[in-house]
Amino acid sequence: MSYSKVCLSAMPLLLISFLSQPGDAGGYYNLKGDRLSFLGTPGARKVIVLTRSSKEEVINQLLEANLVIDLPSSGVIDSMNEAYTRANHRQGLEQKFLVGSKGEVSVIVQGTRYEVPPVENLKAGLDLKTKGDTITAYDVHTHGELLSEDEEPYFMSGPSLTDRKNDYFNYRHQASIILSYDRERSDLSTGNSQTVGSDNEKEKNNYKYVQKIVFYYSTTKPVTLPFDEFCNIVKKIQDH
Amino acid sequence: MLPIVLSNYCKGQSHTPVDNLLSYPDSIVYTFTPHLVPQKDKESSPPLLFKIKLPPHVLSSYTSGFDAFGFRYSDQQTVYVYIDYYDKNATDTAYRVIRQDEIEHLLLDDLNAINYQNKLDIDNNPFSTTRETWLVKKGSATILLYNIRKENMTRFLRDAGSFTFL
Repeated sequence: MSYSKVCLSAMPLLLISFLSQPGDAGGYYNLKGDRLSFLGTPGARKVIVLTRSSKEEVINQLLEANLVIDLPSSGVIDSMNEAYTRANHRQGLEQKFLVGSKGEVSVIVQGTRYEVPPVENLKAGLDLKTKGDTITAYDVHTHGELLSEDEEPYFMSGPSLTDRKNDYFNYRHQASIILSYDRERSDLSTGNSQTVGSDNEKEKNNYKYVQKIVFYYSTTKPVTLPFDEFCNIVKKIQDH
Repeated sequence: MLPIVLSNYCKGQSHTPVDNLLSYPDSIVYTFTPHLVPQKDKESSPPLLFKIKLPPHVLSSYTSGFDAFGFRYSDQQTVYVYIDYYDKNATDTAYRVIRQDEIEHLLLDDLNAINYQNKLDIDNNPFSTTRETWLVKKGSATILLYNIRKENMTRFLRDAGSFTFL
């Protein structure tokens, strides 16, 4: 059963699973790359439910909330890496591309630090259309850029209200994606009695910026994980 | 004051650490106090600043972004703090967690950034029924006292109550 015959945007995922035939190569996976066999299969597609949990209750909640995404192709991952690179070279100017329901990937368009204007969105949509993919499955855009470890972030990785309230969630049934960074720190203390945090002990703070991928859908709480971890999971599922 | 803040904001720079861990003989005090107001697209998103006192002898601590914090103690006893920027209807509560299912999503998804292999590594610290786990909610904050030795729980619970938004 091909995806073109069963339009994801027109049918709940659970119903699709009932229509699936035994022996289909597709399946549902979680964010550990584990197959969720109790869900059956969504035809030939591989679908990631955006949680590290394997618990049926958690999985069903996320399916209802549309926190799912088709397994990205290598082309999508390449465009994600390119969007990160461009955002870093252009001082945090937002980069955005669209992924079609047939898996085509649009050109990457650029906005300001705070939005991608409608004309650029249109450019990406038209590009997808010329590639024969008329339905946008989800979009990917960047927030911020890689900063030096001693700089505080001027951006948050999560979606803005505008991102979450976008009308396209009325007809798209997969999560959208933000590519961003979180500033992380580990080993603030070694267990010895000490006071850290003053300027002359800054080297003990171990700050670093980590690439994060954020999945969001309308009002549901977003799901975030390290981008390199996501790439490893995608590879694992592709090889499954 | 405003010009200084704006100047820092425009450069995206501040060279003062955003979190401090003060260690005393009988406790530690952790404060999270970012100096800049970050943006999400055009929206300002003021981070939630907080302070919490915890028992002494923490082995290591972890921070990710503006929402995930962890403190590791001996024998796999762990304190997590998660700040939920999306749940606007949270009510204060405190209860003992009996089943792992109750905190599965919190541990694996909300706190995943600090639960990987080289950090608190939840895969190597499974929910233990011989220990105690308590969940304390204060506004947008969830404090999870995870796999705490029974004899230490009173102390951990009392200190979790010290959590304060600044």
